Formats: sequence, structure tokens, C-alpha cells
Amino acid sequence: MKRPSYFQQIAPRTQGRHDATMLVPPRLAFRPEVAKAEFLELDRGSAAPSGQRSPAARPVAPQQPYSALGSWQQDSAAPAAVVSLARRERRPSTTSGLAPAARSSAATANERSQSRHDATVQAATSRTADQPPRAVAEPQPSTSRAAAVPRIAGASLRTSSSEPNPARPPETVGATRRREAMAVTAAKPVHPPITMSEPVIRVPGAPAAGQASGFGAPATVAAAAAHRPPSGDARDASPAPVRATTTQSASVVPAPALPVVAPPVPRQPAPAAAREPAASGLHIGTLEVRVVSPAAPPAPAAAPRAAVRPTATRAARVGAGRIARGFAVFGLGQS
Amino acid sequence: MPDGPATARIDRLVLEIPGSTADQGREVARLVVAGLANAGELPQAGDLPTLRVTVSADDRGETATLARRILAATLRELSRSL
Repeated sequence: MKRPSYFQQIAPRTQGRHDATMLVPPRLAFRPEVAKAEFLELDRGSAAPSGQRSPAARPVAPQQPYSALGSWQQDSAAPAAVVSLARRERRPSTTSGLAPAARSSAATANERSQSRHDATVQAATSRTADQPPRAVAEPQPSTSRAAAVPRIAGASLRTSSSEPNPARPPETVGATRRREAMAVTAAKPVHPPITMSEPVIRVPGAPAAGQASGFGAPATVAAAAAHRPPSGDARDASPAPVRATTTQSASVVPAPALPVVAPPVPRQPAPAAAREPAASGLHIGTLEVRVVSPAAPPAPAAAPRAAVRPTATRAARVGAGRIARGFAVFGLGQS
Repeated sequence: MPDGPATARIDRLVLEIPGSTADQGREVARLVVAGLANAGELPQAGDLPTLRVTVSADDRGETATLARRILAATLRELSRSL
């Protein structure tokens, strides 16, 4: 049975003139912005048995009510295709996590094939759990069956992409671990997970950088590995003992390389006995002689000013034959 | 040294003579040392880390006179200190 195309799924079939299908814009429930990127599932085209799916990206939400559930009810190969597609997209817990839950529900219902179908339906339902409810409510018997599946199946579907599932079959766990190991090896650089500090470079006898190991590791790591005891298991190869070994060697080595510089010894004054063979004589350490200039002769005293003028006495004035100052001023001497 | 084999030793001699040259200072020092060596009243033993002597300069500025004054003052200080 040919599946309807994506446009036929999202567009209602409205018949126009001459039985031509009228293109009607899709409803708001299927706008691209409604669907989140994490809920998109890539259809690689090989999952479908007859390659009828379109290779373009298709949201899961619109696929659920129209084609997915409906076609699964009609086409028995559809659930297996979805499961294989999920395995191919490296979602081991999507299918493996759902498988036990589906088996448990199937054990209660005694329908093994139907329970696998429910598991697949539950996977589709859990992916669209965060989407808003559809405007058009159609009877979905498979959804009601999915509700009967334990809720833990959906929870493990969302969160178990990176966590190992204990309920996983052993062969699946081993394969997943191998795949994860390969992925980690491809993602990480080739350097071993040992990180060393710079002082280890001074370890003597260590080969130069680039010649240390075949892993392309720095010389420090190679030197550490060379100093490591040979009989060590995986626990001995932990970074802590390696660091201790290299630190020990680095602390020992630079000592001879450094030039030996003798600390300056302060010169001690020779004892008096060593300096003086005849200690019985007179010894003067420092003789300081200060010669001072002789006392300068006192400067000749300046003649005292006649601050007080000699008192003019009558006798002196008479004896001098001069007229007293007062009289001279007033001209009395002329009379 | 007329009084015997007593030995006198001076590690450092400092002369502070204002208004004189270095040559005059060396001459004064030489005369002082010679006078101490020939002095008869030096103590026989003793250890003085520092001995300070202060004299007045000669009015005429003669070196020999200044040296004799310094020697006399040093002997006085030695006899007083030891």
C-alpha cells in the first residue's frame, strides 16, 4: 500500500473542480515552529521496506496520528522498520530500554507481537509528549494502549541516550560499549590521558620531544613512562604515581647541572693574638689628633659712641669761651 | 727606645689640621710617630681602641712645633688613660 506523501498527510483532501486536489495551507498544529528540533526524526529512506518515505526530514508529531499509527495498524512491517531506524541512529536505549517494558506489558496481556507494537507506539508518544495537544481529536486506540504501558518506559527513552541501561541484553551492552569506545577514540586526540608538568623535561636520559613514544605524546609523558616500574597493572598506570616518580627524578637531577657557587663568607677580623705577636706591648687602635686654630685675638672694641653728650656746664662753657648752645640759638650772646 | 724592648703599635693615625696641606699633614704624622718611638715614658702594655687628642695650632705655623705639641698631648692622654 502506498503511503500518502507528507503534503497529503498534513493537508486535507479537498476536492475542487475536475476532481483536482486543492492545495490548502496546513493547519496551525503542524507549523514547523511548533515541532522542536529534538523531536525531529530523520528518515533515511532505507527504513521503509519499499522506500516510499521521502528522504527529507519529517517531524514525528504529524506522522503519528495520520500515517504512523494508521499504517502500523495496517502494515505489520512498519514497527520493525521504526525499530531498526532507531537502532541505526544510535539510540540504543530507545529500543532496548523499551523492549523489557514492552515485554512486561506483553506478559501481562499475553500478546507478544502486540506488545512490541505498543512499545513502538510508546516511543512515538513519548517523543511528542511535550507538544501541544492536537486540535483534531481522532480516535486512537493505539494511543490508549500506549497509555497502558508503564510510564518508566517513556522516561528511560528520554534520558537513557548516554546512560547504560542495566536491563539491556548483554550482547547489546557489549556492542554499545564498543561503539561508544570507538566514538570516544575518534573524538579525542591520540594523546594519552596523562598530563605532566614542565619540570619533568629536565629529567636526564629522557629522549627529545617527538621521539618519546609512538603515541605522539610529549617527552614528559614518555619520561614518566620510562621511570614507571615495569610490573604495573592498569591501576599503577594512574597519573598520581607517575607524577610522583617524575617529581622525584626531577628534584634529583638539576643539582649537578647547576653551577656551584660558594656563598660569600664574611671576613672575620683576626683575633688580637694572631695579629700581634708581641701582645705585651702598647696597642692603640686609632689615634685621632685634632688641631684647633689658636684663639684669635679679640677684635678691637669699637669706640663707644657718645651717646650721652657731655653736659654743658656753666664752668666749662665759661672756660671754653664759647657761648652756650641755647644762647647761641637765640642770639643772646650777641647782646 | 731607651726603656727596653716594649713595643708600641698604632693601627690608624688621623690628623685633622685645618688650613694645612696633605704634605704638611704627612710630615706632622711622621714627626709624631718618631717622637712616640723615641719617647721614654710610654706605658709598657696597654690596649686602647681609640685615643683622641686635641691641641692648638702653632701661631707661626711650624710643622715641628705642631708635632711636638701633638706628641706631648698624646703622652699625656696615654698616661691618663692607662
